[in-house]
Amino acid sequence: MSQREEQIDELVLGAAGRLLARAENARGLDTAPLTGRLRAAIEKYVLRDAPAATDTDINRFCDGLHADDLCLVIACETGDQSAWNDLVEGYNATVRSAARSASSNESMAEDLTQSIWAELHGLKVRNDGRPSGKLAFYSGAGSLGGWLRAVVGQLAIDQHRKQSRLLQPEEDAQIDRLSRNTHEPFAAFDALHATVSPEDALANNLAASDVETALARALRELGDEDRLLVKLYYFDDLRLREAGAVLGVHEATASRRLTRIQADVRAKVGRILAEEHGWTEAETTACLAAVAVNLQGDIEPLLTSSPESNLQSSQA
Amino acid sequence: MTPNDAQIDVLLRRNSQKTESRSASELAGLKPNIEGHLDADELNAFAEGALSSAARARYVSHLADCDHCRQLATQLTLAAGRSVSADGESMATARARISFLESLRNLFAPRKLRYTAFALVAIAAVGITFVALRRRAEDRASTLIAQNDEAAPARGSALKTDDGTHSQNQPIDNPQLSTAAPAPQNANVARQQPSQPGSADKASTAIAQPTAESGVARNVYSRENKTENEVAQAAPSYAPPPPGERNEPVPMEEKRLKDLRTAAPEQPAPKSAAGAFKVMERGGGADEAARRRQPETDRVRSGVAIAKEKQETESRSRSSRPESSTARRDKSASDSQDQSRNQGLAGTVSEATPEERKAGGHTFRKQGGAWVDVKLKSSMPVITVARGSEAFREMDSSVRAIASQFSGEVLIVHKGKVYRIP
Repeated sequence: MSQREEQIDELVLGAAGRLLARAENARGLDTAPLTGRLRAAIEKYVLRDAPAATDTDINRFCDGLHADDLCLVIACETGDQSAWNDLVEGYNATVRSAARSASSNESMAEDLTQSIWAELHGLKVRNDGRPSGKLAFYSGAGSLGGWLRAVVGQLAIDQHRKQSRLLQPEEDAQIDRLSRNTHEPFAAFDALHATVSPEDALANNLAASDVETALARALRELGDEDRLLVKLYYFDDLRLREAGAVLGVHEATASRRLTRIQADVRAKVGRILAEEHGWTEAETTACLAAVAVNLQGDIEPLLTSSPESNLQSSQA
Repeated sequence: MTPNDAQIDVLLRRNSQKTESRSASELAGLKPNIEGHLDADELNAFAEGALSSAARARYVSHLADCDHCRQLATQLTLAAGRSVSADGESMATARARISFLESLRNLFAPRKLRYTAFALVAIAAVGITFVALRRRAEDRASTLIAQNDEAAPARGSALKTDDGTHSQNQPIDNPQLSTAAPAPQNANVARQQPSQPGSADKASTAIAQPTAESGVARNVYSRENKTENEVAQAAPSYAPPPPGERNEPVPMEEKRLKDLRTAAPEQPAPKSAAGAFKVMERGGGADEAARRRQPETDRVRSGVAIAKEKQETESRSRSSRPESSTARRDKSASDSQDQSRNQGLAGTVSEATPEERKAGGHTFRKQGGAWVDVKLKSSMPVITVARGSEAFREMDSSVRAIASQFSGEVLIVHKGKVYRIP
């Protein structure tokens, strides 16, 4: 074992002791069952992205773990019945609420809830004779309630996928209809071009294709944070406040960042069109203006929810 | 939003609508758009902002491309109700980003130290100004005290001149007797001591003798206009009023005196005066003995002892008076015992000594060369603290501040105790 590994083990041992001291109810645990969990969490959240992390970073991460939640989960894993009772009593409402949110009706929510508890307890048995439940994946980095919500969400999607496979032909048809419906707002754009001459229509289609390609490439060239904000705002239809919360920034910051991203995207699109298709700046401006004018009437409701208007509405 | 931004906004929305159908099919499990989704623990840690900056950057990169994880992360974030500070970052993210060393580095950064230097200079300037002003204020205070010391004898001489004129008008009015003779009349004591038939005549003569022509007698009868406790408060020997500082008797009192003179049997004046002086000598002797036994502070207690002795004498003399009037006086005295005692002292002193000063929210009257707090009660314990002593320095600052404003002896009432500072 290298010296660094020994240092980390010492840090983990110390962190386990502090964690037990921090916990209001340590449930009679000692440091032994905690060290393995802590070591795995450190590897996952600290050393994987920063192999040269300092002792301070590791200690800060360990001291930020949810001590009581982690002790409860580990006590459940060790077969503490009172801990299980506390877990079910304390978090059944959370699981049920998350299941209702992810289900279309009450019976499905009830089935999902039961499935969650079964998954948490573990339907299989590990080599050491203990049930291999999902509780083994809880690290304590986030709250236990939030982790349970995430587990419910993932399980709901898994169940949805299983059901989708069983009903694939019908679902495909629905998705196709959905796809056609989502393109209906842009039918006017196509109809507009249909009224012009075939040469112009061809030219317009080519221009639109070029713009679309350039736009997709400009989006790919954005930074991760910017790209996530664009996805959250334009693709997921979140409000600026919600998108900012996901990114961990204030909605005003998100608004300023979105305005900057739009300028960046426009500059990138113009550069791509100029470099790859030989468009002049005037042509780019005219094309983008034409696209905007032509789409104005069809997506008026979308335009009304501009970042500033969203910001104002959310502030109001 | 500028027009250019509006055009890009429209394009982005159109692009998102086109890709929505693809996302829907991917979400349905037909074509997972990305491998290696985030697990529940990672999603929750991201949603609650519990990740380090490096880990968070990795997850942001994944979420920007993975619709499945992004939707779950969005739901978890909104369910967690993550609070975001107005400066643009969540508290958890800010904590994660700023390490201890970075914060230390920022704290001692030159661009911040330049402000610190200005701040230090400003603090030093304020400190110097404060010290300088304080010294000036102390000098001013000492100057005021010096002026006060100079002014006090002048006032005393003025009073003495007044006394002279007063004594010319009333030659028999002995100033010592005017305050020492009126023995404290505690109604309870008078009630406890039954009137002795044999002493009734003596008592009546004790009243009658002073009333012959002397100011003592006038003082006794003017005392009847007040409560007996008022008179009792005038007794303490530590505060003999300066001679001749009494106000002129009111005409009503003169009239009553005349009536009494006519009603009372003629007694030789020297005898009555001698009797009165006997009482005074006895009291004065006890006072002197107390002074010899204890420091000067105990004069208060000795004064009380004198007052009690005189009270006995007075109660004996009063036993000859009608019972109803005594009872009435008892009632009125018991209603406002301490307060009226204070008022009596204050009233007597104010009549005798108009010299009054206020310091530290306390009112002081000059009595026998000492400044006495008007709140002083005879029942209060007296603590003598010499100026400059260790005990003086340990005293409450307010008491010290008051004491510093008086150059001579001062008695300060503070928290139920009397601090005598010679």
